[in-house]
Order: sequence, then structure tokens, then C-alpha cells
Amino acid sequence: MQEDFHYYAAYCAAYLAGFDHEESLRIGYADQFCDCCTETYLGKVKGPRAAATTQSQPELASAPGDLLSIQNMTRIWASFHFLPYDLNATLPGHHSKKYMQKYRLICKPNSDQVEETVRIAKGRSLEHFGISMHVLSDTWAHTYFAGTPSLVINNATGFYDLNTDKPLVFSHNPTIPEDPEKGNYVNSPNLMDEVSIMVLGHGRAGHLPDYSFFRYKYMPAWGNYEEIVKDNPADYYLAFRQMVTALKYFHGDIDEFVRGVYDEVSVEPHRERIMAILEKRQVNACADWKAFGEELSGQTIPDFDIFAFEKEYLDAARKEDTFLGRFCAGAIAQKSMITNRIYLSGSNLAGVSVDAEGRRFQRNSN
Amino acid sequence: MGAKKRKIQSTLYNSGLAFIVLGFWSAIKGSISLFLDYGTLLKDEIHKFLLSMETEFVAEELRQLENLVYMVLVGLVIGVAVVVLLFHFFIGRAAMQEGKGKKKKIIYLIVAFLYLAFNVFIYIYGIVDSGSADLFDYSELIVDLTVYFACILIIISSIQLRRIAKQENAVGLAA
Amino acid sequence: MSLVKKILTLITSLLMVIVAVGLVIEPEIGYYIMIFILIGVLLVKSIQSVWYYFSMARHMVGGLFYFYQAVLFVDLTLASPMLLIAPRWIVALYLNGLIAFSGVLDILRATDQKKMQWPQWKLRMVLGLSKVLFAIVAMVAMRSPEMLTRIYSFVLVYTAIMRVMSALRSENVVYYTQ
Repeated sequence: MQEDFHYYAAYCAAYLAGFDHEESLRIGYADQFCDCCTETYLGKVKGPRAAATTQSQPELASAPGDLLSIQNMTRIWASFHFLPYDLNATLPGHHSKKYMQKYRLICKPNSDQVEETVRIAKGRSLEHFGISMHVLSDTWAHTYFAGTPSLVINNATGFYDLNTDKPLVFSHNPTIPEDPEKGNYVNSPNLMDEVSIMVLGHGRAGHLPDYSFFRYKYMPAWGNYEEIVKDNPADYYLAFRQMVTALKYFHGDIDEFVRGVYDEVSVEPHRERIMAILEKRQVNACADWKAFGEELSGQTIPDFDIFAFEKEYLDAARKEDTFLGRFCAGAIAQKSMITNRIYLSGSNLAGVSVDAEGRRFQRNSN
Repeated sequence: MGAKKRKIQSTLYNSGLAFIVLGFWSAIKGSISLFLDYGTLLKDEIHKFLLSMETEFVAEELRQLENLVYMVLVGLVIGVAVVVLLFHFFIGRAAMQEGKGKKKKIIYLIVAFLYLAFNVFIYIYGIVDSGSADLFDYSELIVDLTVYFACILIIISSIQLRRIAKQENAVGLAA
Repeated sequence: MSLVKKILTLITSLLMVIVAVGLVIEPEIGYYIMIFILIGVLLVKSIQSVWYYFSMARHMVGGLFYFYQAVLFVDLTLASPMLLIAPRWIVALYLNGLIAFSGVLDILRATDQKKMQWPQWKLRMVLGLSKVLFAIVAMVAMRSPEMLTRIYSFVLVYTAIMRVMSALRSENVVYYTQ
């Protein structure tokens, strides 16, 4: 997903869940900030680099491709953008341990991990709520891809646009602007390397998973030649409803967050309006979501500014009382939880995880 | 049915590509090893042959004739290699196109089958004729077997695809 | 990288530097050692490609491609002892061809990076162009096997330095609090 959903739609969801304008702004901001908080940025503000929630393209390009950098990539991308669905998944027939470790990182919505993501944010800061909403919504957009570089999992072919009923042809030149009317789309090239960054996440599908209007089908590398049909408008709508449910849980309106439960009460009256935004063929829906949000609250939503809270952080004596400080705390908690779960499942793809309290290495005894 | 068809198409495409590339590699390797292993031997044999002829040659004439005969033989070897490569290209390209969904005539399958049968026959004949497998060139075994494997996959996959196409047509007509 | 793997990497890098120095001191013996090292590297690559197919790629869509690729690598390895009896200009062509090919790959990657507006593209382009230029100059200027072994020694030392730099990077451990 991109700024239109992570910032503006998250604001709308928070407002519908009962948060006021300022609180909704913070949640939306933190949600979108997950796509901006790189190690480079944290280095600039002298923040904790372990709190990085994404990697910029230059950071990815300069990664040497050894085990360390792959583990670092997996920690970040699996924790915030491609939450693993089933860390104990099995497949019929024999598969090597390495293959299964990567297969188990495939992202899908309504996992144990997303329940835990929401649970650990409860009672914490608005910034942490925003982080958990980013993670939750990305499980819907990034379904069937994994947050680790892997040719055998993340490669994808046979793209077909179900809206226009034509095969999709990608270009590898990102300077050409994407245009749904002309059918110009960009994806990463296949370098036939198992751990290339070109096969990290949904690179081979380009931006298709992030466009709410797209309906398409394709063959994922892991799918044994079966075609996956992606209906982004339907998925995004479910993501929105689930976000409202989770945010109501944070707000205290419901006692428990259970996966597979989608808010109807607050969202249903706006269904037509939301679906119209989601189904409109445009690469950027910020203006539409912004208009909707401003209608809901009657207040102006400022444009997203990555530097909005930088001065506050730099000038503060107690960093943890600032927006960035609380954001970093939430990010570290989320990353640690997911890394630990991956480690406990017997995989070293996200590196080692140490119980800070007990100061010992944990490993699944099964 | 859709997944099975896509799998067969992928097999056909990749096997066609391998048939071209491995054939090309085999030709290059074979030519290099021929001249490295037997280049000097061949020159010696040409020299002996020319000396055994009734006509006597001046030293310079002999050298020029040796070079000429050598070049003609080299040309022949390269010519045969090129012909084999063209076979590989014809069969492999047709397989790749059929793997991409294009309709291809059955002629390329017949050529593939004949190519396979001929090569297997030569191998077996070579062993039987020599009386043992000692003269069998094991270093070529891996690529040769893989090329035959690719050829078999091309034939089987193409037949399967045509069968599926017939079934789809029958279903289409029935509908 | 685990401590054991770091130590092993440092040891192999040191051995590579020692071999490189040895090649320069004794070029005649060094020539044959160089060919054996090349064969060894090809052997490792071919085993890796076979392993990759059987452990990973056979499950993926289009994985058959990697089977054929592995066969090609294995055959390349089996054919490489030919280099021992090949004329030296063929070995030079082969070695410089590998360096030039690596340079071409760097240039192609730099072009991709330039399209993506990554700042690293200039460095990679310079690296790729210098490899190609180096290979061409080496082919043209090479008069003796000594020159060939010097080129190979240079490549060995460069690779050893890159491996040491990778091994000395610090590792992140993520702490988890209940």
C-alpha cells in the first residue's frame, strides 16, 4: 500500500473508530512513517537504527548480499510489510529445510502474527497503533509475497489484467511514469539470483499490489502453476474494515481483537463512497481519501511531511516523550516480536533473537 | 487443467531453450577438444598420407598442400557442426514457440524423434561395433544425455499439449 | 556471520593472498596452480547450482531452467581440465574473458541502478568499465605466462580484500522482551 491508504485512509479509519482529529492524524502519520523510517534517516536524527521500519533503494542496492544483510532485510520487511502467515506451514512431499523456511514467510491476512501485532500495541502509544495498522493493512495488499529476498518464493509471471482483459507487460525502467490508461507498468527484472533484492517482496509484481483499483491474476513461483486472482478493491475494503475493528479495540470500544472480524457498524454507511475511491483507476488516491477524511471530521488534514516531528526529537531532552521516540519504541517492540517468532520456528532468516530478560538464546524444542 | 497445461507449456519452452543452448555448447566443446586432442594427430596423418602418394612434392608444396587438406577437413567438421546446430535451432525454436502458445506443425516433432532415434542408434552401434564400452566417450555423457532428455520432454510435452487442445475444443464445441 | 565462519573466511582470504604472492614469485608453477584454482572454483559453482536446483528451484514455476543451467555448469567444469593442455593464449582468453564478463555484468547492473536513480551506479560503472578495459589491455599486452599469473594474482588479492571486509562487519542481535 502507499500514502493514500497508509496516511489518509488510516486517518479515516481512526476517526470512524472514535479517535478525534489530532489522535487520528498521529495514527495516520505513524502508519505512513513506517514507509519512511530508514536507517539513513535514523542516522541523520541520531535515533536508534534498530528501529528502522523500511529500507530505501540505495540502502538495498548497497547491501552486500551476504547472510547478515539478508537477515537485516528479512527482519525489517517481514516485521512491517510482509507479516508471515503460518510459521509452521507444511507442504506435501519432500522440501528442503531452506525452502520451507522461506515458504513459511509468505504473507497473508488474519494470521496469529497480526493478532499479536495488535495485542502488543494495546495500551501503548498512538504511534504504536499507527505501526500496527500499517502492518495489518499491508497483510492484505502484499498477500502471497514474502519479506525476504527469494527467487523461488517471490518470483511471479503470467500477469493478466482482469479489468482490461489483457496480458500485462512490464517495463524495467522506473523513470517511465506508470499510467493505467496506457498500460505502462514497471517491475523489477529477474536476475535469476536466489537472494537478489529484485526478488524481495512484491518487486516482480511492480506496484500492482499497491494500487487499490487493480484486479489481476498471476502465477507465483511457489504456486505449482496455479493462478492467483487478486481483487484489490475487495481486499482493501476488508483491510479498512479490519483496521476500524482493531482501532476500536485500541479505543476501548471492544474487549478483544479477533482476526476475521470486520467492522460493519461504522464503515457500512460509507461503503459506496469508499468503494468508489478504491475502484477509481488512478495510481494515487490521496486527494479522494483526503476529501473523505475532511468530510468526516470537518477538519483539514495536512499533507504528509516526513520532517514534521524531526525538530521535536532533536531538541528534546527526553527522546522517549517525543513522536519519533514513541514511534521507535513501537517499531522495536514489533520487530523484536516477529524476529523472535521467526527464530523460534527454527529459521535463521531473520537472525538470532535473545530474550533480554533471561539473557539466553531461545530455540523451539520441537 | 489450467495448471497442468501451464506446467507443460513451461516444460516445453525450457526444454526447447536447453536444446538450443546445450547443442551450441556441445558443438563448441566438441570442436575445441577435437583440435586440441587430435589436431596434431590429424596433421601427422595428412603428412603421412601425402608422403605415401605416388607424386613427389617439393617441401614448400608439401607444406602448402598439408595446410590446404587440413583446412578442408576443418571446414568439413565445422560444416557438420553447423548442420547439427541448425537442427537444434529448428527443433528448439519450434518448441519454445509452442510453449508460448503458438500453434506449430507436427513436422518439428517428427524431426525431433528422428534426431533422437538416430543419435541413440549411433551410440548403441558404436558400443556394439567396438565390442565394449571402452571407446565410449564418458566426458560427453552428461550433456548428451541431457540433450536427449530435453528432446524426449519436447516430444512428450508437445503431444500432451495437443491432446489438451483437442479436449478443450471438444468441450468448447459441446458447450 | 557466525564466529567460526568469520574465522574461516579470514583464513581463506589469507591463504588467497599467500597463493597470489606465490604465483608472482614462481610463475611457471603458478600458471598450473592458477588453472587448478579456476577448475576448483568452477567445481564449487557447479555443485552449488546442482544443489540449488534439487533443494529449491525444482519446486518453483519454471524451475526446469535451473536444472539445465546446472548441467551446463557441471559440463563446463568437466571440460575445464582441457585448459591444462590448451595453448596458453586460450587460457589467457578464458581468464580475461571471465574478467571481461564480470565487468559486463557490472556495467549492466550499473545501467539498471542508473535507471532507478541509485547513487551507487557511478562506482559500479567505473568498476565494470575498468574490468573490461583491464581484460582487453591484458589480452593485447600479454607476452608471457608470467603476465597471466600476475593478472590472476591481482584478482585473487582483490577478492580476498572484499571477503575480509564482509567478514569484519558487525552483527545485529535483536533483543526480545516479553
